[in-house]
Amino acid sequence: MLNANHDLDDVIRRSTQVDVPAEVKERMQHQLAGLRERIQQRPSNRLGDNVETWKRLLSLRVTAIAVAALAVAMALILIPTGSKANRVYAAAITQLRDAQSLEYKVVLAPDTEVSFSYLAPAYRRVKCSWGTEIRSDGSGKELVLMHLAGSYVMEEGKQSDALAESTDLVNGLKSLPKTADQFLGTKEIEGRRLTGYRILHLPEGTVSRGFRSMDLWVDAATGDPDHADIAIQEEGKPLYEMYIKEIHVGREIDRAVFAMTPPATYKAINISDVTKHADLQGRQESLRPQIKRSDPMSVVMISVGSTYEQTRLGMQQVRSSLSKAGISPSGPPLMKYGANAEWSAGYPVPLGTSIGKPLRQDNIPSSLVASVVVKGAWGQNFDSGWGHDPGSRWASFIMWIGRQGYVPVGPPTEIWSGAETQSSNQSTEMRIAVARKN
Amino acid sequence: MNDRRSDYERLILPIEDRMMRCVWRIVRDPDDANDAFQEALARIWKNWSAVLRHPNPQALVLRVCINAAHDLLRRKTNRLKWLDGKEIPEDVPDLSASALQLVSDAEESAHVLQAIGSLPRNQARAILMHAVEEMPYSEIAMVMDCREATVRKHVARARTKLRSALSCLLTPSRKEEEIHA
Repeated sequence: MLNANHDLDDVIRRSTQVDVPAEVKERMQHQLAGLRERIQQRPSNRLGDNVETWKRLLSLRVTAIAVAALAVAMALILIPTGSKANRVYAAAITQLRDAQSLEYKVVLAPDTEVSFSYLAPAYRRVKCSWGTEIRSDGSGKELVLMHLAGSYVMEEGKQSDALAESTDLVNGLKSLPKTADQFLGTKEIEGRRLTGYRILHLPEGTVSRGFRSMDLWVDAATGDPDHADIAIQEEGKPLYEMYIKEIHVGREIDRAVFAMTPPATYKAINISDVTKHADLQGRQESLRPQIKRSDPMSVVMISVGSTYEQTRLGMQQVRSSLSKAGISPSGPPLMKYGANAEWSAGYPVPLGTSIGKPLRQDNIPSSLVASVVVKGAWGQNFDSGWGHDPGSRWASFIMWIGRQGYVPVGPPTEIWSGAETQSSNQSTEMRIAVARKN
Repeated sequence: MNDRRSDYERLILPIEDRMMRCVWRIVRDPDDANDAFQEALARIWKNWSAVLRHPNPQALVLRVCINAAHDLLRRKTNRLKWLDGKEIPEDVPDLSASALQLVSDAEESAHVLQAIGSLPRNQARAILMHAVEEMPYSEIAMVMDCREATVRKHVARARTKLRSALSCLLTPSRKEEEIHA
């Protein structure tokens, strides 16, 4: 059939492989010249891009947090200059400029959000859905909480400080230009009439690669900013879109959310910025994320708690139960993140194997997955090109998936390879089912 | 202004020839080519922002050209069906070997294009992008905004119909291969 297809294609190709006659080509070239002129005469929009900012932030110590800060940046600083002033837009800008408090969420991918809170004069909090949170009270210190790992970092100094970016962003917010680049019209959402404005420009000095546009939608009745859609595209990469929602200006915020005291049970981590930075630069090179098709798999799992030790014990229990049933695992152990830190752990077993409670058996069909292998102790904090803690690594991975034009459609899964007793040889395949973004 | 100039030079300039060629290959008539190309450029200009934001802008531009040419081909094919092919000249005054070859080639081309023009829209566009422009399935999927498997289905169905419509152009051995495959 392959040959037949080739023959048929050959016939089609042969019948269509003709040169364009000179006179036709000349007319077409004339038409192209017209298109070229129109494109060149389009109003200059000072389109910026953000890759430099992006790369800089990605090299920061807590990668995912930096990415979150960038998302915050997109929401705060990409406010337009231009010619199409509008009173509704101006009202929204005025509200933002005068805000004593500000909250909103940035949706990086489905189920992957960053909540941002600001309270005058200098309280800030970035809370990521993957379990990382940064708090700052303006004293020069920053508290980074890693909830999944139950640990925290107290940082001083602003040089490599991700949240410092948002400080500038807040300042930027208060000096926003008063006009947008394009008027997008109106739309109705839940009985509210929203007016849209497209922002194509970055202020001088913040030019960065990849930023395409931000569409800010404002409640026409109140002048409150409602939500925003942001388009980013690095050269040669698919379009990446993220969204800002639930924007609240001037709402009362409990100061406790900015508390600089970590939960009593959390362990402190000390990290040398310099060494870590150097390590990150080197290790990022070795990451090889990919989109691939997974083999079908039958897995036997058990619900476990959210700590590494609980996960490890859960795996031991599964292994023991399998052994009693005379079943050998067909691969390395794996764990699955669920919502609200409900985790499962277990082993793959040969297809067709059947096993009873309390173990749970899932048959996972072959599917498109994003996958990356990270070297380091299973489920633990360690420096990697994609962050220090599991939550940050996952956040970076999900961001990578988004930039390739895919969206996650399944729970995050980790496959743990290497010997249990030798953490230096352990590695983790982070894997998640994905689908091409429509 | 520099950005705009570089947008054109980056996206359109390298594929200008391909744009012209893919339109001409499908419509084969100077006036039709002029119309189809004009239509394609108008669509590109109208959706220039979308082109800039597309993951594969050049493939998208080529798709727009192919679509415009195919739209015209379909209209023409339908018109020929209506006229029962009476527009095709029947008498060939010059009977020299080269002239006959030219006529034969022209007839083959017309036959192929007419068969493509009779295909459903998506099948025709998929086969044109795949067979004529030699675009990979992944790229076609991206510009047709569908899954790669869907593109493969469109191409496979188009091939099935074209094999039947163009059986006279395929050699017996080729047809045998198809039967045995």
